[in-house]
Amino acid sequence: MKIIQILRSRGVEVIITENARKEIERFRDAHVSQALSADERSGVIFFGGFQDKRAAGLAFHHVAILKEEDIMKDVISAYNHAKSKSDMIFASSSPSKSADIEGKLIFGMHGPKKFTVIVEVRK
Amino acid sequence: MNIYGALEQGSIREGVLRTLMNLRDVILKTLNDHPYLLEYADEVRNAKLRVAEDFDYWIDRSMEVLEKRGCHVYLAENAEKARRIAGEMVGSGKTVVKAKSMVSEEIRLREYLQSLGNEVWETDLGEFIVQVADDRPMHMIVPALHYSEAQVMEILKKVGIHGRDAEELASGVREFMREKFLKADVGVSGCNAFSAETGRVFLVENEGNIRLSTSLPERYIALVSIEKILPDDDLALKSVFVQSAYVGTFPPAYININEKADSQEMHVIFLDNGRKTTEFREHLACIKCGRCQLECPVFQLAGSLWGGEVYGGPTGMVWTAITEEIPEVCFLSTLCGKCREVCPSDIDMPGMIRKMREIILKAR
Amino acid sequence: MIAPRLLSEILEKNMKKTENPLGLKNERINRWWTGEGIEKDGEWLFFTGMLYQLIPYMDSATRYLEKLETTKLQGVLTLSKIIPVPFSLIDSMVSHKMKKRSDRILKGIYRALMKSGVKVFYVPELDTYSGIILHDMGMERAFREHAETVAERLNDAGINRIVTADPHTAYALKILYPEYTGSDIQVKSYLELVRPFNAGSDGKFVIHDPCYYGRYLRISEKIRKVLDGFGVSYRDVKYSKNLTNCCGGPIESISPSVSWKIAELRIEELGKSGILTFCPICLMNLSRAGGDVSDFAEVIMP
Repeated sequence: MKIIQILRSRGVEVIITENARKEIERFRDAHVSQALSADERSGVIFFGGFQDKRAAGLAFHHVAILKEEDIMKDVISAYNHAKSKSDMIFASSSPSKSADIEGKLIFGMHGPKKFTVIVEVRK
Repeated sequence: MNIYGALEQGSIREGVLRTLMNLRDVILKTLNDHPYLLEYADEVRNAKLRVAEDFDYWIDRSMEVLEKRGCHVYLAENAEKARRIAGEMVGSGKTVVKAKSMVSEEIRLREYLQSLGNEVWETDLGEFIVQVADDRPMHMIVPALHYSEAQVMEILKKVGIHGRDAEELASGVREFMREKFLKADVGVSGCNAFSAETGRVFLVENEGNIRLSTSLPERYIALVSIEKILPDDDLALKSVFVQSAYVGTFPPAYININEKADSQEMHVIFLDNGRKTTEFREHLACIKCGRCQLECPVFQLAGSLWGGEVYGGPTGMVWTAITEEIPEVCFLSTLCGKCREVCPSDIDMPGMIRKMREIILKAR
Repeated sequence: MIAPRLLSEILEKNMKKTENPLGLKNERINRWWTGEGIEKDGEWLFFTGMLYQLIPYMDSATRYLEKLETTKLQGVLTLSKIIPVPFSLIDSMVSHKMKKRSDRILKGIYRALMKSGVKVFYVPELDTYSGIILHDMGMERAFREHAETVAERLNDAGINRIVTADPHTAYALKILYPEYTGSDIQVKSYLELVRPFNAGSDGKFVIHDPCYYGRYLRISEKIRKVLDGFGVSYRDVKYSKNLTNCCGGPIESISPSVSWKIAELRIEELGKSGILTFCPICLMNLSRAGGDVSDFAEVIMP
């Protein structure tokens, strides 16, 4: 899956598993969201719901559970797939970052410093 | 400071060139790896020009959709009306957290809300630095590019934020701003793209400040200049994708697709301010990625100081003509055509700058 | 910045008087062809547009305007009816070396065309400034009138093919004249017509693409083929071809200081030595900023 490489290349921790439930045990201090869909090409991951959006924004560590079957071929399909399941869609693709001070890249500006994606593959 | 001051100072030039070096290869690689973005750019340009041909229809439609969804909606013909409306919604004695927005600069919103007795914070790191320094954004997307790490260190001391490097300073700002986010009464944002189909406000960012500014406060105000209106969600999403690609931060770390939430009051102010009647209509296809600014030789020397009160550089020359008046400094353009060459919307800025010159000379 | 109105008034007066922006008579500045044994008839009319001939004078005028740029004097001058640029003074300041160099470049282009087997001819009376600065300045009416005069003259002389020496004139004649005057004369840059011959060029060059060739006329690839054909050794910088950076020249009269800073920016990327270009404005402005610049015609000079 191309998306795994893409996410890893930008500092996202990616875990591939057949059982996501087992994996989230490890992330008790993080905010865990169920992803609604993702764009294979850009690595943009869609979520939904106002409360989840606030919590994901405030968290220091955001963990997403993404099902393999929710990975779509392009961003428009991914967005529409997410929209069919929830309102208040929002998307993340990397940890929070900024390069506003002399172009120096720092992570964890206002949002999560760490972003983990657990990709649940079919058994 | 004017252009000549900028030429002498040199820090603007250093900052613009540094930013360009950091971003130019990333932009080219993004477009190479994601060729569909060029098609998106074309679709967005065409859709924007279509909307600009019949703003009244699209504004009506947008306002109707928003009202149905329980939002408070306003249409402001000019900057003054827009800030008045926002001022009435905010009142006084409030804490306001703001996302970076050039349109809010255009209507001097922060200054106005402060004058009403509110505490107003720019939450984007670069824009926050500019606010504390009492300066103006030097670039549309990278507003503090003209400051060195050492200068930022000095500037942030004013608000009690200390640090020895970018990492520590950023962490100080995170802490400082977190408190403001949590106590804020009102959140204000601009809009990167608006869907007339669903009334959704699309905003892209990397820091996470927009997500917090627009979802934590109980009252949310979105300022939407009318050229941001697109017919539907898909086009709005394409627009923000293209914008982030052309500024070299693709994909955006965050895409916020804001809409009315049950627990939040949402106000949307549509701003005209010269857009509906401008003779520079082609420029309404500009998605404000700021790439032409970085690539322009005059901007590389003078930043946004080459422009009007708010907007600078090639795109800023035309935005100034639309929202203020034609800036006489448009005569400093070399018409080298680089702006159009790198523009995702292929906007003929050199042609419009010549047109501006014609108008200025005719008025003699 | 020189007040645009002041500049436009000067330009308009000068153009009316002499058909060129500096108010200098064409007969006086256009001497490159004397003793050259030019053909009076042929297939392609060589049309220099006077730009190469003008640059020695522009260089002097720019040095004068640079002094004027930051003074308050220009405000007063705008109101007066006196033409504030002392052209007689400028004339006396012009470097003979530069005049000779311009003439040599034009000879080089003409000879290169001859040597390439192009049936080129030259009629000094038909050659004049294209008016491009009027267009750039937004002086639409003045540009149109001038373009119509020139196009009509060419038409009356039965000209149907023109070969140009510089990118600004090429753009004016090829793109703007058809639009403004309905002229249907075929226009090509000499770079599109020359065929490689043994020129014995040496040296290593870095290319500075003029904006008008790189973007407006899009012939950068063609130019490289010509260079390859001539065996010229060159390298490209990152900002080349359609992404080339400006030399600052086009604003040399409205703001000599900004123009000069832009040239410095470009020199930073190109380096100072071995710059190769194809435009008199680039040649002048990059040289002013300290670059060692050659025109292509000098490199292949037959």
